[in-house]
Amino acid sequence: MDYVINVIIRNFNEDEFEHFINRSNAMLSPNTYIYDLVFKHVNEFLYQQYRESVIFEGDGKIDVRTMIATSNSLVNRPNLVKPLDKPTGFSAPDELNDFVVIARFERQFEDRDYGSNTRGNRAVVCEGCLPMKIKMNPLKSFPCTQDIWKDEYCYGTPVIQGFCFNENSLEAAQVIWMNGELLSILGLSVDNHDNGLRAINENGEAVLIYRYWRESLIGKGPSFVGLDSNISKLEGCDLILRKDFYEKLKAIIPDMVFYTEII
Amino acid sequence: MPLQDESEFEWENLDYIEISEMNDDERAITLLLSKANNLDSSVQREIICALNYLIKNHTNLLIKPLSWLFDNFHMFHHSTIASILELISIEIKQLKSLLLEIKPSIKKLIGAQNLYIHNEVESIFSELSNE
Repeated sequence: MDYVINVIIRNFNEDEFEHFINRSNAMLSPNTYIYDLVFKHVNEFLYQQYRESVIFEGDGKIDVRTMIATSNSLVNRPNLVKPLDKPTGFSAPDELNDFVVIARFERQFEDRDYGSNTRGNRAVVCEGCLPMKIKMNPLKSFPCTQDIWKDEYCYGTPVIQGFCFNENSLEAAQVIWMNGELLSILGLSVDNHDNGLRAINENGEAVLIYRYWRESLIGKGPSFVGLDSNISKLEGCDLILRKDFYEKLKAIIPDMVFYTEII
Repeated sequence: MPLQDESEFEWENLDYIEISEMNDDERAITLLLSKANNLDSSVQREIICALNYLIKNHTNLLIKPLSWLFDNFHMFHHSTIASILELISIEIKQLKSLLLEIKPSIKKLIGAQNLYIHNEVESIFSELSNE
């Protein structure tokens, strides 16, 4: 393994990586530079040494289905309280028309105001359902997203929803999805990935829907200004459940609460 | 979709004949594929989504661009090639005739000496022989 690490470090090109560094905001524009470097050299090493014995499965596979499903779930930012304005604590979940927002992850940052204190210009909201009243981040599990497509997401874990975050990766950037066991109990099944990430009931109606948004790119608003500027000031995703199914979920988990944690 | 023009794709190192034999749509897809080289996360993902759309709706337009991509795999990042192979794997049923046509190009990917790519190619070939 030391050999691979040394090869990766030797091949790391600072000048190429520099393209993604946004100095004025002290941030990194999401990129796959290191992901690709590691992918290439680890797999070249495995090819040389373990060609006959390594099989990729589960987390080891690139999850193209989730990548497509989440991209097809892109929406305009819904009308929710922004992370910088949201307090930590228990509350009732937001409601939008016939749906309840059962979980959300969102990151916000404001431009730096030079000459004044810039602390407090960033916030991350992690909110979701917990099976009992306990103060903990409801988006703390990192299950394998490939399991979504087998209806086995978060199997065997006592969580209502699972969360995955892949910032500088090829994979879907942010994923929130419901525990596969709960999905089965509610009589829902995951829809084809071409329709976005959502679950349908026996009548084919979409009752659990994942939504992803990425707004206010730094620089010149919605247009792209360079490799170091594909950074969104408001990027997030949520999971919405139709009200009648939310009531069913509450009946299954009577002590269920909704908790918001601001990081 | 942000497809900025900062990628340094070395077109001059390629055989022009392959591209000159393409129609405008195929050239546009080839240009799209060349954009994968800039390693921006969302551009990478959007390219996969665009290919997914083309697989479902305009499969025949992909024959020459995919063949071109695999013939010139050394110009591309390994993770890009691997994710495109992964997409091909999950849609293999409707791609069989296309894949049979570009089989010699896919075979060249073994030259990448990357185990993930190697295994994907083998699994695609074994699926193709199960006719």
